[in-house]
Amino acid sequence: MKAHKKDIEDKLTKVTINIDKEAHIVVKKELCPDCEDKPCIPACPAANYDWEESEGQLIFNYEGCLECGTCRFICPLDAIEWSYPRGGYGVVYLWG
Amino acid sequence: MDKVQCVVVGAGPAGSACALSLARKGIETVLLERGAHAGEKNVASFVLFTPVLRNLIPDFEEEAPLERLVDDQSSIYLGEKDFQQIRLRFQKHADKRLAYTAYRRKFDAWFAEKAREAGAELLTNVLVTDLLMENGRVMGVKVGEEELQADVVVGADGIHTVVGRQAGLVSDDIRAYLLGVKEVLDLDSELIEERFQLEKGKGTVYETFGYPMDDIDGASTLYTNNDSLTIAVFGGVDAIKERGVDLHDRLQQLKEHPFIHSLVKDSKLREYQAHIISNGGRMDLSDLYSDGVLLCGEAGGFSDYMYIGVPPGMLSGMMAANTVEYAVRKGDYGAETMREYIAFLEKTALLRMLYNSRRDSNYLVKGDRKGLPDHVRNVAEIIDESFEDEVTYLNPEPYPMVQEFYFRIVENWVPDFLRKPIRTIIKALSLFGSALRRGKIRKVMR
Repeated sequence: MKAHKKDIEDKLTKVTINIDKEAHIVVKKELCPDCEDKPCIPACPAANYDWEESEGQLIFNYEGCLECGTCRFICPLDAIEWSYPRGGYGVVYLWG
Repeated sequence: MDKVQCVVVGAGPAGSACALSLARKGIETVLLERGAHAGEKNVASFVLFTPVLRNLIPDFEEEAPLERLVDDQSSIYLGEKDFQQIRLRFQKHADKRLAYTAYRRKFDAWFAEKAREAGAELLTNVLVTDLLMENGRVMGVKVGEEELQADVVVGADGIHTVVGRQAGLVSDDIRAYLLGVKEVLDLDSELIEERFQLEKGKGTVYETFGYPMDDIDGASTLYTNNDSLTIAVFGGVDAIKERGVDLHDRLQQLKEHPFIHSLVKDSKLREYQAHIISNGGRMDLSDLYSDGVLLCGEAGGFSDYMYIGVPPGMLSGMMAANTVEYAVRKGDYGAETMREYIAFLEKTALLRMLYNSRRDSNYLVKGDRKGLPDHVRNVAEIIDESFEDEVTYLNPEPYPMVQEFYFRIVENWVPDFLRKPIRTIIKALSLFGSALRRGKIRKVMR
């Protein structure tokens, strides 16, 4: 379980995101049960990755993505296919 | 199919500086931005230093959206509860108005508009997804199904550069990246001035080291906007991957530190942000150009030791524009011609400064922080020196070839345990060298 997930979700309510209907990041979730450390979960500053214990699978929401790109670098199994959202979609930082 | 002389990908400070310079040279330029407005994908992590901008747009202060004039900077060392503050006032160059805080959404949009006014065509909502390649040469860009041909493509598309990666110039070594997690906090402007002991309208920047980032060689920053504070933590992506570090947690811990808390208390979250920045170590000169393509800004690894990406970005964009002009005159866009970019970069202080950045980031972030008196002196000296660099940004200065050669090329083959002693020796030699140049040692000898 991602630490302080609720805090992060509250913070994300302050972020403007123009959500595309297509996911810009695709996770091959079938690989995740074999991953020991799952560094994506603590790493993602938007808490978009989490582990669903009861179903034994990874949950991923592209909708709350801040487009930092951390997950592009850290998946030990190369299960994350990363790209930016299409032009005009995704996060809109008003005070960056 | 359309064809233009130059496509610049990314309307951040580097891309807009490049497009603005190209347009002024009368070169047909298209500037592409993936956001609906320039700046809305960007996250500032420091103040905006002005010498390069002033060179491009001398009267920028009359119209650019700026927050506070910064002539004051502190280095803060945090223990778990205690802190040590080293405050520097930039009195010597106060009249030069060297730094401001600014929001990127406002600033970058204004700057991109300047490029458009100068004659570049600015297209927003456009994500470049791939390059048009022919026999290993870059021929233009792809935007989904659409293609745009160009004599030269300038990649100014940031740290995750699509242009750089598709051209095979940028590899993904995670040691080269830091994650920054940041909050912008609403706070009354008079309260800001009271808490940070500032004159009205003036701002400051705190660079903080130590708690709660010391175990991962991280750092943090806190600076003042008109009616908000920006607070951010930075940590290496390698530490995040290997040790499961959660930077959001670290940011919370930082805000609860007694000293930091006294500055940010009773503020309200305005926006939460995250962005990857370069760790100041990626720079490899052969990776900045290829057939029909140049990289500038963060895409080319141009950023500073204290995470100052904007001035080096702008300056590299201007030098990329000079290179494109040179290529247009020559009528050749091959790698040999593009290599002229390095010569243009060498005419500025940029490469020397990036070298210094790399040295200082290793010293300040990763170095030994014990031993107070020396330490205080060194930090003050280094920051003062780096500020001198800001002043002389545009002046060519002697280029420390030997050190540069070592850090860029030789060190890759040096075993880990030897790196620290060798760096110490090189550092000592370079301090000796700079003292010699400034005449300090000669005086003593007399």
